[in-house]
Amino acid sequence: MKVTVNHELCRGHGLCYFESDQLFELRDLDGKSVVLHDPVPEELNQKARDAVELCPERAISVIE
Amino acid sequence: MNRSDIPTFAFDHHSADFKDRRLEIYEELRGLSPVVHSPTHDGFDVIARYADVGEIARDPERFSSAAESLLIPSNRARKLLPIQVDPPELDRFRALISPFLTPRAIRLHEDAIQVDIDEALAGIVERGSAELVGEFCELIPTRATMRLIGFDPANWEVFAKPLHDAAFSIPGSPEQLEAIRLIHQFDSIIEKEIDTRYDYPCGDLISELIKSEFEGITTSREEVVNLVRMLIFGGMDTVGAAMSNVVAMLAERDDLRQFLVADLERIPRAIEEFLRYEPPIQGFARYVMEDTNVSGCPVTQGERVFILWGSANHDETEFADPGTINLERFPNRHFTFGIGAHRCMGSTMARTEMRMMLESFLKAMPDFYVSEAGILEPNTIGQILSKREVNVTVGKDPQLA
Repeated sequence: MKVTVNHELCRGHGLCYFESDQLFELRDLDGKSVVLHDPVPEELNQKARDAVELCPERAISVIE
Repeated sequence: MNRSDIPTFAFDHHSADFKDRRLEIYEELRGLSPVVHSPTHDGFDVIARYADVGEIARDPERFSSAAESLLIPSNRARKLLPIQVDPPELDRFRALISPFLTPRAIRLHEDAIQVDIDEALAGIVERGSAELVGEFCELIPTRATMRLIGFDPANWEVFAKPLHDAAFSIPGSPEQLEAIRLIHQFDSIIEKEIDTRYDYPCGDLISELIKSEFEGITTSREEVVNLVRMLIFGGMDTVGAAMSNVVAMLAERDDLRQFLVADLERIPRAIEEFLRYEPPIQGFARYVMEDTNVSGCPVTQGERVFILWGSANHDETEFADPGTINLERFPNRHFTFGIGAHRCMGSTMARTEMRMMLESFLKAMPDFYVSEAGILEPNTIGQILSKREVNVTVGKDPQLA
């Protein structure tokens, strides 16, 4: 699985980071989310799918 | 669709009717048209559907925030930064503030916030009763915001009281004019504190802002003042209001309180639902920069649109059964912190404070109920949806026994 954050859409709400700080990190400059693993480790697959759903900017997508 | 086809509806968020029937009125607006014109408060267009509110908030080129006020009616107050600027200036101001509000930065404040929470709750439990808005809900975020900025939190009431009074009173009323007078007074305290930092920098947020720059642009004194004012207006009465709504809800809804007390791990998701259901800020104005349309409805250059986070949060196309409080709702992509370019920069701080407050509160007093003095409603919810007072007694409600 691959997870990506579209930085045109991301506004740094940080909800993906709170869902999984193992999978996402936030940049200090603007709070935008950065993906830490490519590919996503299997044990974080569900976290990645949840992040897609909870992002209020719809900035996160996964390729299964 | 022509402009003459836009329906008119006398929507007034400061009316008593709105206070009583907010959710019904929102539902009616969403059903009418993507754009509805209100002739109240010198006229403005109302945007009530989730998708349209999101589209406008995400398009600062067509819908500007660079205006005298984002409130309707305008409060003619001094400028707040960065809420009242558009890109690319917006990016500069957000970059100046962002490092102080990251999850890492907020974590450094948690211990001090916890000390305040424990002290406030110990006093309440000992007395056996409390007016929670003043003694808990406003106290914690006001003091936390002061520490964030670099102010001595001992004087927290100088800020909390006028902000609270201005928020729940009707624009132009004697109560609000008195609150605004006190706000002007604390404005001069803010300026004095800032000027002291120019002479004696001490490494706090104000001192860092004073020497800050972004891509070669230094930050002016006026900008420092307006950035600090934004932290005060954004960080104090807003979180206090959100928390007032939570404790009022839990004082009245035994089932919701039991659900959380049974498993405190449920709190973070529950907070999102409380925020969705009762956002402190119901909406903000945007200014139309060119003749354009919203979901096929024309809007005119120079006019105001009022984008209603409060209505978007109850749009049935985004939220199943929006009128029900479901503390496990997922996903919950509410607009309580705004959306798009102006997303509330303090959202992590707000969420952290609310989680800590609610966890400690329910541990210290798993049972409490509304006392005789009751819950005092605000005069208007048009600026801030909150409670004036929430009077409770600690312990099991004798009427439920």
